[in-house]
Amino acid sequence: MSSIPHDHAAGHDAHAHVPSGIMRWITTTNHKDIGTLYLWFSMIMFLAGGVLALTIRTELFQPGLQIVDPEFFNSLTTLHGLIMVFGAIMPAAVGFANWQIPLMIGAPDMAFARMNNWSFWLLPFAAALLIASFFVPGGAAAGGWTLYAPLSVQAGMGLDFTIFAVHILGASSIMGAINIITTILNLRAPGMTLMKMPLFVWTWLITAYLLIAVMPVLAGAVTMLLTDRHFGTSFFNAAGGGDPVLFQHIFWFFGHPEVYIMILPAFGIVSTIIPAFSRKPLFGYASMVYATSSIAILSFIVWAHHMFTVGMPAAGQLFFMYATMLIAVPTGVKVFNWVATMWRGSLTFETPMLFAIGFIFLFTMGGFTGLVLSITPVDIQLQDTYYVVAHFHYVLVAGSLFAFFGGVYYWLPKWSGRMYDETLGKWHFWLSMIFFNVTFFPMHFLGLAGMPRRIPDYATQFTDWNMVASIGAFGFGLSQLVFLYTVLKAMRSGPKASARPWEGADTLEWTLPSPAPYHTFETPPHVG
Amino acid sequence: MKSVLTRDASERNDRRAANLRTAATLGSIALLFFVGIVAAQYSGSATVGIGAVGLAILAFLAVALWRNLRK
Repeated sequence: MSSIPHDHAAGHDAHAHVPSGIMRWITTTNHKDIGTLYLWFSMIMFLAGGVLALTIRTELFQPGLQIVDPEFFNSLTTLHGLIMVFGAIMPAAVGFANWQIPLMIGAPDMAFARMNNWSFWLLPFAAALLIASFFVPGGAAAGGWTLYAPLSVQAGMGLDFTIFAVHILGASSIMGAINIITTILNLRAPGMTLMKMPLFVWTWLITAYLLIAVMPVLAGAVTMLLTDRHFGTSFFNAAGGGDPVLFQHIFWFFGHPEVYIMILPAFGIVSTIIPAFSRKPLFGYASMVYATSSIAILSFIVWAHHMFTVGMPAAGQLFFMYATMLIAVPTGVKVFNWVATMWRGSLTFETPMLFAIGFIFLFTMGGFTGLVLSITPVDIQLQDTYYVVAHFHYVLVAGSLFAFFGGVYYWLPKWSGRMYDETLGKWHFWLSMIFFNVTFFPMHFLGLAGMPRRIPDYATQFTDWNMVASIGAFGFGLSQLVFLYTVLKAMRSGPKASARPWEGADTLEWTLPSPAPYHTFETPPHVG
Repeated sequence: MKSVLTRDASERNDRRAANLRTAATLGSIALLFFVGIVAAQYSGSATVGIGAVGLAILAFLAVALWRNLRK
């Protein structure tokens, strides 16, 4: 990883003109402004998706139908997934990329500043389409976030809104990915070779390639879905000679790499935080780069483990089972390296570090349940049960989301120029940690006992753990208000942050004053 | 000898051209995947998909060779 040769502020104009007013945000081409827009947008969508989740958990607090009808419940689960994946997690990761990549590689901005503005401003329209679909005749899409055909071919107008939203989100993601790759490949500071880049930049470079490869595939799938619905084609309709299973194959060819699109930037954030608070360089930097690349490559050959119950030849089942298990090797390398970085380090446990350690602990649990699910005969038993729900929430909430929280606390001093309240940050961590486990750990028991997912009612034997999970969900939801309050309080009245508030931080952004000036690295720094 | 201003402008233009080349390559890959998957399924033949990807790889190689030979 690159190290700071010396403190310098060359090429920054702290007194440069900073535009103001609403037009600043609409027309901005500044990577810091756009990063801020992405992060606030993802926060709003996180709260929106959270409200849907709490409605689901309220309905499931006890058996029987309480507050929503079954069709609307299905829409809630569908839109919760779509909003969290495409509206919260992915934009948050892009927000981090926009803020940090130019600062970490010593670039003045993103390569295509105006396209960057476009990439962001497409998102609110896509989000509006998704949310508006609740109010059209027939309601929102209700077949799950996977939009499986042929069920979705028969769905109402809400699904058309979803298809257009996915198209727009896909276009935004592809533009963002092109921008990120071009920035990293062409705008690095002199001396910053690829193997000197901070690991966060590496993970985003690999993520951006994944996006380029799989978002067009999803766009192709939903385009075929659209033509099946309205233009008389039969890609997925067996009655017209189509193949209903084809959609699942195409969707999961996108869907499994998508999991890594959401988790690799989180790996990058954790790989930045842990060395800083261990006061040691990252253990096994090169192996981390190769492990990340291996995970990305393997993600293309495991998609059918989502489809074991569909039916496939034994050879196919064995291939996808072993290929899935193989991902544990590079993932294990990463977990080992994070732990080895902490080993005999001079550790302190500020909020970013707590979230990073929480990430390692809970993500590893999610990884292990993933290994359980990769075993074909076990998966056939657990398919579509709450065990799967528990697994992917351990990976995506305790994985991606915890890392993003850690990243916000870590870089907030650089972004805002102010420190957050450490006590409040720790409250946020411990409340999130406890209530996350109260919510999702019991789902393993429910799944193993056979409770199916995506149902508004259930057998009374599942009542107790559902009550526990619902109480945990409300606790987890309320804990996030602590996060919101902590961030807003820091921005309004937090104590001023120094240029480098974390003594172990050694990447380029910490050579800049806090907050980072509006224009930075107009003269590229030289990296030693 | 070029003045500093001319050299800066020239570097900016070179960088801009390099950025556009990178973006055009990545964009064409995305377009290929989108068109390729729909065309392959529309024709109902696996050879169409394989053919589209194969032709695209040859096209990328041809462009790369042509650019290098031109220098």
